[in-house]
Amino acid sequence: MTGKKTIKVDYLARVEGEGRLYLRIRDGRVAESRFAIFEPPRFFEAFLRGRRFTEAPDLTARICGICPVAYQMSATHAMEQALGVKVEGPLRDLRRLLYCGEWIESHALHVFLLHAPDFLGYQDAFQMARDHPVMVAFPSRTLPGTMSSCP
Amino acid sequence: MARRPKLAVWKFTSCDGCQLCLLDLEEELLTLAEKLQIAYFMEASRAVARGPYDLSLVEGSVSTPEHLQQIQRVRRASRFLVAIGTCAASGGIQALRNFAAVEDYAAQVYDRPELLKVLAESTPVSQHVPVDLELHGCPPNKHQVLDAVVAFLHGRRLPQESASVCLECKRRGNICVLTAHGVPCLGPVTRAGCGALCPTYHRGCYGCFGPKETPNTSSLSRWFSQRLGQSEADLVRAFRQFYANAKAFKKESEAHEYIKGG
Ligand code: SF4
Ligand code: SF4
Repeated sequence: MTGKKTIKVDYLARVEGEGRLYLRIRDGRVAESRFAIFEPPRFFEAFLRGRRFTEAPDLTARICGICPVAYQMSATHAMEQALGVKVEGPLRDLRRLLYCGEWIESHALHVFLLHAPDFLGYQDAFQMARDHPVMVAFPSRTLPGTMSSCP
Repeated sequence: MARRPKLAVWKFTSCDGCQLCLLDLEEELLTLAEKLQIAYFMEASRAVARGPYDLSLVEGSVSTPEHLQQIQRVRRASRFLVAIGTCAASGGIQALRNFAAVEDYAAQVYDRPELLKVLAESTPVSQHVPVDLELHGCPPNKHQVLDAVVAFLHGRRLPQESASVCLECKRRGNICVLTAHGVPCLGPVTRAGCGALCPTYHRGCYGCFGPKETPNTSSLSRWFSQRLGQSEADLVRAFRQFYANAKAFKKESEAHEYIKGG
């Protein structure tokens, strides 16, 4: 591949957060790449100071709406480490189940609703569903609530 | 076919959790996509149609200088504007900075805080432009979001929730964690809507749907301190959570802070 090409995406779609991407391609190689995240800061690290340790998991869960449990679990682990607590047995298993549940849920969301349209050449899952209804109907019918973290 | 109304979904300072309530509708979302033209919804689509938009859902709080202009543009381009979720309706958890100096916060988190362009406070959409409807909750219940869109499609008003979380507890037949187990619970002063999610799992409510209509916060504080032995600092933190910036909770948290400071 020869010649020059520029790829400019001012607002990345179908991801959590706000970013833009700029790529300059010359003779099939990336000559310049710029990636900017312009998501405004929310200062979690600062407002967590002075809170009770029990509050950290609920507060940090609001870092990301796609994977709140990951943050919740990290905060829980951090508090346990600080206090020298080790959680084992059925409680640990339950937590693992919760964590994996979210993992499946957020991956189902990404695979079917957020990423598949790119691979299949659509702008979004709505367009994709017209030609491939199974892509949206499958996860919601076989695993209802799989793509859901809302109450 | 008649022109489908155009839907736009906007993000300000937020976690995307509220917009996800729409994606979480799964098959109902496809039905919505038939009734509405999804004209701007970056979390779901890279297709962008020009405004004006018939229905705008705004997620997130206003927290940067750019947002000040952006929210005006969104308002001008929108016929009916709904603020969805705690961030948009009250400032969100990031409004905890309103009780501190934002420069201190920035210096605690970032190596080069001077590069940040942020406002001193995180504020609700309604502080900047007229809002037609507010949906509360962090995040709101997805059925509430669906109800709001359906109400818009039918030109119907959405009744606002005025009851407290306690009412939802009673409906579910929950045992009260506050009176039975001495767990501090904000349910009596918090707007219903979540279905008493936390108390149902034996946790105290932490008020993420915001203050209910005429909440008796001082009476609840008295309960917390006299019967549960909570300190003034505990009370400040109790009311300074997801709705820290809402008038009733702000007033209550400040009352305990200032008494303590003397
Ligand atoms: S209100 Fe809560 S769930 Fe919605 S964007 Fe803000 S932090 Fe996320
Ligand atoms: S548990 Fe909380 S919300 Fe439920 S009835 Fe008791 S005080 Fe009210």
